[in-house]
Amino acid sequence: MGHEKTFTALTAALAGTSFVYGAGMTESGVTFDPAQLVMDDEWIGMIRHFLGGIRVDAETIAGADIAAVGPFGDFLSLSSTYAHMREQSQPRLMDRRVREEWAADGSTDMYTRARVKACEILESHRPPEIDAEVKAQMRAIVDRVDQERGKA
Amino acid sequence: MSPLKLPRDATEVIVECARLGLSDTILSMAMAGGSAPVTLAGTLVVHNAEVLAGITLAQLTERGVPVVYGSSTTAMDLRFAAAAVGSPELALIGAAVAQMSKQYRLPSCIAGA
Repeated sequence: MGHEKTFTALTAALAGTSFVYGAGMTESGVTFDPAQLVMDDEWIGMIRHFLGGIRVDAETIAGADIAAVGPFGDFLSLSSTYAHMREQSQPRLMDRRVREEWAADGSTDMYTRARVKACEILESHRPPEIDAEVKAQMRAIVDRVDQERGKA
Repeated sequence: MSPLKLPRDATEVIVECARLGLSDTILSMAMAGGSAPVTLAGTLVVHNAEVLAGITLAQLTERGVPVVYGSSTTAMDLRFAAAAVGSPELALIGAAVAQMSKQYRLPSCIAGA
């Protein structure tokens, strides 16, 4: 499930593959599970975050902040923390809260949360409309090929 | 203790281990965004300073005592004020610490599986 997906995708990603396929697949690819796809999206997000590496420059090294905060201080209220906080990984299904908060929210497991999310997407997602002009062009291409091959 | 403080109980353990000739893992658990800069490069600066200070203390106590460069450092998930263990940030820091410890020619012990 999660472990095998991460293990195989991460090693290939680190070796520099262009694409990894298999998201949503289980049972050697015989079964496609929308909940698995939603979970895979989460692992892939983590892998992509890792592949982004660590940016090293004067701003990210934050020498002035470190000197200003000093021993036993904290970095929570710094403007640099505010400026960069959204660069942190923010998984939506993995629950990083303490046990009490997780329990108060129904003690759901990962697969249950993924299934709920998958059902939400299936019910509410509307793919963006293809532009009418583009649609007409596509139709024209199909019609022309049909005609050329005598299928019109 | 991040940032940049070696509390008494930690220093006593380091000194005692060194005196006994025990190998000791000297680690820090800086949390990016809380007790260290939110940017990981800055977090590594704080982490490295703390661990090197601990290693220096061990070596000053007993020159040549074996030490391990450790890390529990990770990000603080600022949405929940929780240590993001198992996060890509922890993985990135682990990889960086492994490389830095090689630079210092020290064995390393990193939070993970």
